[in-house]
Amino acid sequence: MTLLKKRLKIDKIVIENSVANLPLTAKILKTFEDLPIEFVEAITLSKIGYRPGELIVAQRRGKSIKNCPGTPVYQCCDYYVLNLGIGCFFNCHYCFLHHYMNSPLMIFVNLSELIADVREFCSRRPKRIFRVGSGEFVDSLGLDEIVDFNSILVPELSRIPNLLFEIKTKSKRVDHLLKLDHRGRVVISWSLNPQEIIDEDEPETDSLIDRIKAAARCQEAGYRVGLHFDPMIYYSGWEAGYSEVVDMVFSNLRADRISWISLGALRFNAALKPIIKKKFPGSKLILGELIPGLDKKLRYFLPIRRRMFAVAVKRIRFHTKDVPVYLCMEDAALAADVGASRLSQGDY
Amino acid sequence: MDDQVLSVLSELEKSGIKLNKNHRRDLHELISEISGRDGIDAASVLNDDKEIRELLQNSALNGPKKLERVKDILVGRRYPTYTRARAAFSRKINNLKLDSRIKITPTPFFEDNKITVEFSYESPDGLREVLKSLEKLDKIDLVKEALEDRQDSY
Ligand code: SF4
Repeated sequence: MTLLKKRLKIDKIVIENSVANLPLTAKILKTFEDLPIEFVEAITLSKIGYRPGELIVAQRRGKSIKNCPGTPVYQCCDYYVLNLGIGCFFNCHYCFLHHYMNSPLMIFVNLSELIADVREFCSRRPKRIFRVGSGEFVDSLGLDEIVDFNSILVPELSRIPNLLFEIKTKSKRVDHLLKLDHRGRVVISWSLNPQEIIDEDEPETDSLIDRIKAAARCQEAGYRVGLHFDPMIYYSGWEAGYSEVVDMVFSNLRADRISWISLGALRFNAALKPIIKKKFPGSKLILGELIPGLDKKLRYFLPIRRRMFAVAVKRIRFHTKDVPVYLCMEDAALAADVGASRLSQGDY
Repeated sequence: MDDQVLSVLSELEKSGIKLNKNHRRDLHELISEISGRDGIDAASVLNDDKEIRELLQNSALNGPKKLERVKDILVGRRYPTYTRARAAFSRKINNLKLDSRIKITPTPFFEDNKITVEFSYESPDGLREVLKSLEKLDKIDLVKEALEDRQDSY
C-alpha cells in the first residue's frame, strides 16, 4: 500500500459528506486507512484551494456524460465521454491536465447515479449505438489503482444493449478485467507510441510491449480492443518507429478482434507550451514544427501530419484491410487523402 | 531568459539592432528552440549561419532591416516546411502574373485548401480585366501544389 501511495503521490483524503457512506468510499478509506482524512460539506474546487497530493472523493453533479470536445472545423468521431473524475498520475508530458497543475486528483464515487445516467441517455435513442469512453480526464485503468471502478462499470454498462463502452489506457494492469462479464460490449483501448517516445514523454506509463501484451490478454478473455496512435509525435526516426509499432501490434494481436485504430497527431493549447517547457525542460515535444490550427491549438504543419498519417495507414493496411482506421480531430478531406475513413455506426 | 540567449541578443544589439520587449521575446523563443532542437548552443545558432553573419556585418543595412532579415532567417530555420510552402505559394502566385488589383490569401498556415480572393476595380472595363485575369486561377490548385512542393523532405 505504501508503494501505491508513493506512486499516486497521495498524502491526504478529502471526502464530500454526501458520498461518505457509499461503498466505494468505504473501499477507499480501507485502502488509505493510515492517511489523514477530512470530511467536507461540499466540494467546490473553484473556491477552495485544494492541492496536489490530496485525493478528493466527491459526488458527480449535473450531466455525467457529454459529447467529446470535437470542433466545428475538425471532425469528431461521434464519441461520448463518461466523466469519472479528473487527474492522472501518469504525467505524460503533453497532457492537457498540466493546465490544472495545482489541482488535486478528484474522483466521483456515486457510480450508481452515473450508471443510471448513461442508461437513461442511451434509452433516449434505442436504435442508435453510442460509443462512450471513460478515459478523457483520467486514465481509465489508472483510476482502478485507487478503487476498482471497472469491476462495477463493465458488468453494469455492458447490460445496455445500444452502448459500446470504451476503457482507454496506457496501463498494463488488466488482471481484474479478465473475468468480468463484458457481454462483448466493452472495448479496451490502448494508446500506443514507439518506445523511444514513451521513454521521453510518457515515462511514468507502462512500456509499449507491456501494453500490447495486456491487449493480447484482453483479446484472449473475449474483449475487443481498440488502438489509438495518439498523439503521434514527429521525431527523427518516426517513420521506422511507428512502422515497428504497427508490426508489433499485428504480430501480437488478432486483427479480427481489433475494433478500431485511430490516428491523431500531437496537438495542444498554446497555453500549455510554457507549462511543458517549465515542467519538462528536456522534452523536445514543443520543438516540432507546430503551427496554430483552425481551432487555435498548436499542431504539426499539415503536410507533416499528412505524411505521418499516410505512412501509418499504409503500414496498417499492409497487415489488414478490415480494421477501421480513422483520424482524430482532422478534417474529412485529409482523412480521405491518407486512406482513413470516418468511423460509422456499422463499424462497431 | 537563459544567459546564453541573452548574450546572443546583446551581440545583436552591438551590431546596431535595437530590440524592444517583443523582439527580445520572439528572438529568444526562436533561438532557444532552434538550439534545443538541433542540439547546438545558442551562440552557434547565429554564428554558424553564414547568411546571418554576413548581414550583421553589412554596413549598408540599417538596424530595422537587419532585424527583419535575421528574424526571417530564424523563422525559416525554425519552421522550414512551412516556410518552404509559403515561398512555393508566393512563387506560384507570381508566376500567374495576376492583375495587380487582385489579392490572394490562403487560410492561415494552409490548414485547408481554401483561398480568399479580394479585388477592387473602378470601372466596368476594370472589372472585366480583373475577371479575365482571375480565370488563370481555375487551372491551378494553388494550395495543393504549394504543399506538394518538396513533399519528399517531410
Ligand atoms: S495517461 Fe492520459 S490522462 Fe494520464 S497523463 Fe497521460 S495523457 Fe494525461
